[in-house]
Amino acid sequence: MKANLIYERWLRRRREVDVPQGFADDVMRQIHLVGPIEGRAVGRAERLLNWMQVHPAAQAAAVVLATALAVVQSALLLRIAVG
Amino acid sequence: MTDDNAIIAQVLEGHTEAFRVLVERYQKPVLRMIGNMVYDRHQSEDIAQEVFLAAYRHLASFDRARSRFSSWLFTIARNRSLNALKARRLALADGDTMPTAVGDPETAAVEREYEAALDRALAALPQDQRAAFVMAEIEALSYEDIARIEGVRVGTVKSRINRARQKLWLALGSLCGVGG
Repeated sequence: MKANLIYERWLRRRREVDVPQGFADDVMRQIHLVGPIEGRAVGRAERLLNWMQVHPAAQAAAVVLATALAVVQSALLLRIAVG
Repeated sequence: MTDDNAIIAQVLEGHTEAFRVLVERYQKPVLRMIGNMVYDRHQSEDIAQEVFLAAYRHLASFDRARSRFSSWLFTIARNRSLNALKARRLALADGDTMPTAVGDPETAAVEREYEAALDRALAALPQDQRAAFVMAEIEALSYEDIARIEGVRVGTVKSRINRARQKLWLALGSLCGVGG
């Protein structure tokens, strides 16, 4: 008997699955007991913006950083223009 | 088919029943993965219910920028399975080895013996190797997804799967008389 056939048959058997009848209903019953959840799925950038909105220090830091970057950029452009 | 993220958005807006779509979509792979990790049908069902409940409770913390919902769900399933395994020393349930349907009873008995040996070998694998093997060979997840779920590098995942395969083949080889 070929070992690879046995192995493949065993893998196929391990891939079989019986979903118990009413499984989703049971899960949903428990979920309804928990009740609606609050929140909203957000991406990383939106998460950062939200966080900054509720942290005044972060807002101030962002303004300082943006200003510093603008100054550096202007200085560089001026240097390029002057040669 | 509605996108998972669209369903998640509905649930987070308070449409609890929308979560049923996700349960029905992923109940099979989640039950199968847990079943292959803990080798106990009743416990698998309990853990699978816990997984969906945990996913629902923590849905707002799911970050779609970091992973797919399925990978996130598998991560919860993997962690819960490993917790269950830690809680008890794994003993292979007798009733979990399904008979193989073939004509000749003698051949069937031999094949059952081989498959039982593979079952035992899978159950005896270290947890990290078993998890990687189950996700790759049974759930057909990509190495990248498994690496994300396990929190390791792709190379580590490949090496775990190779070691698991070698051990399974060794177990089979000792019965069939073939080399590892």
